[in-house]
Amino acid sequence: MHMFDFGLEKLLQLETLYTALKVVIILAAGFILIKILNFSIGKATKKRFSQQSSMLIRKAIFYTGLFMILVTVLRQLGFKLTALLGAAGVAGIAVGFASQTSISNIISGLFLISEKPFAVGDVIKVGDTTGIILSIDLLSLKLRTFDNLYVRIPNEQLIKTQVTNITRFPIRRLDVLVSVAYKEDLERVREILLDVARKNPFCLDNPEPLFVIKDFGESGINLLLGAWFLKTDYLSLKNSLMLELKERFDRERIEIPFPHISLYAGSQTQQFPIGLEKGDTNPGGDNEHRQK
Amino acid sequence: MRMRFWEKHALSKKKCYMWRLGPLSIWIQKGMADEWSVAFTRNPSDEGIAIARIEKKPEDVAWTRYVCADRSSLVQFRPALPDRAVIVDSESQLKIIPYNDALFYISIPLWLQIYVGEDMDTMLCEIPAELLSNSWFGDTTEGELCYSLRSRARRELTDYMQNPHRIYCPVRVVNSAPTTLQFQKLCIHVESLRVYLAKHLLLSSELQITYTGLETPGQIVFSQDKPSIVKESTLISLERTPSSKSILKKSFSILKYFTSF
Repeated sequence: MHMFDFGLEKLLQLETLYTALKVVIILAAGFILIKILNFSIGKATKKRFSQQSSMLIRKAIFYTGLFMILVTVLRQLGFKLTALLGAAGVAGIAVGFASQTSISNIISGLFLISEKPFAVGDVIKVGDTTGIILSIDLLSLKLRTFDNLYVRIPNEQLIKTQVTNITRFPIRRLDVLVSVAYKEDLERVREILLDVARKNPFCLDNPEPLFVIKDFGESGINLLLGAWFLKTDYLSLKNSLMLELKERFDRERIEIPFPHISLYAGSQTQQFPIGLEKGDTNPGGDNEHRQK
Repeated sequence: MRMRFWEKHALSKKKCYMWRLGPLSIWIQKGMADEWSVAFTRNPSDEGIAIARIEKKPEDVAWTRYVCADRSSLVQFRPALPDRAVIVDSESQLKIIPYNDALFYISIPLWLQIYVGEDMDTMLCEIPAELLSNSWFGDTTEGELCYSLRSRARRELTDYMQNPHRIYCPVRVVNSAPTTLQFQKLCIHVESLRVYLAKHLLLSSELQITYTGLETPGQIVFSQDKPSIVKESTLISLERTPSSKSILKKSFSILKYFTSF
């Protein structure tokens, strides 16, 4: 009897060992197979699909493969899958009720994927956040902002709010607002602005730079210079154009006004006289403006 | 003098040499056994040519060092056309009446390629003689990035001979349509053109554009032969885009050439 028990125990141990070995082999082979399949599919879809679609296909394959490995392992361990799946169904309903937000995000994610308003690598603006898209997943979108912050935006929010894709088109227009004094000749200012834009190597000659007289402001006339550029040249154009405009205005003696107030001494037409006293050569000093 | 500029030059080690080609001044120094230093400046008021003049190494220019396995101290310049298509904008309106043709010379600032090595097969760098403005060929949602160039579209070659840093592209425009062709802007894929040295002049291979009306696609022919407008010329630089690859592009571009802006 004792001997029989020992034999049975040994047999059970051997069987357990055999099952464990099978599970390990299934896990190892399954993972390797998924990795190989993922790699091959990734390579095959790289050229035909967008980066985002390729990533989604790979993820779908990975999770399906993972589910299949799990089912196989559970079967090997002796679990009855029918009962397990039944229980999972009941649990699924409960989990479904509890995770409405996640489901909403998944559905929103599917809409975003089919609509394709942006792709991985695009620069987008959502609310106050601007950044480069790192990944578009079923639940959320991941951004890297220009100051290197990692931002996760739920898909549901992306569906509800306005999203601006900054790099969708190959060229963009930079609008520079310039203000000049009322005394300036606007035709001359126009020529200078367009000439500066034309001479800037980052500013596209075609489409031609835009000049608009926006409005008559409190301190000066507000103008707009719209310069077209290649989307990658944003910083180069902005910095160089602003520098060149300032230098050119200084050279041409065109006044860029700043807010100022005229004072009146009771009369509606006569300005309150303000001037410098003789000998006061330091306009930035304490005695800059002395009332006479 | 101009011919000598494009010849090989043997440099003494650790000595700084200066060349000038129109507005572009270049300094080259052969340093250690495998190292080259290159610097350049552009001054629009400069003109003429200076060849391998030994100078004190200037400190106020930005130097770039290149490491090259070939230890020879030979250097050679080669002229090349820009790396992108050029949109030529005629300074004045020009019209070609039906069933007439005209030859124009478009002057394009060259890109100076610096080659080193015993077999002159290693390019250190290339420097544009003039910085051209960017331009866009197409609409705001899709198109092609090009360089912009203002041209007088001259009819005589002698008018140009003052500029050693420019390559002259002969363009024959044939108007085979019953309507007048208004020549305003022209997109030339200069990457498909070769450069020839003819005495003291740099010429590109010829280009013929046939206009057959707005409804039908025109025809572009990139000549692979030497320019016929001069008696003798030597091929000095091949096209950037090999001919075989560019056939489709050229065919595809036919419509683009006559698209109005």
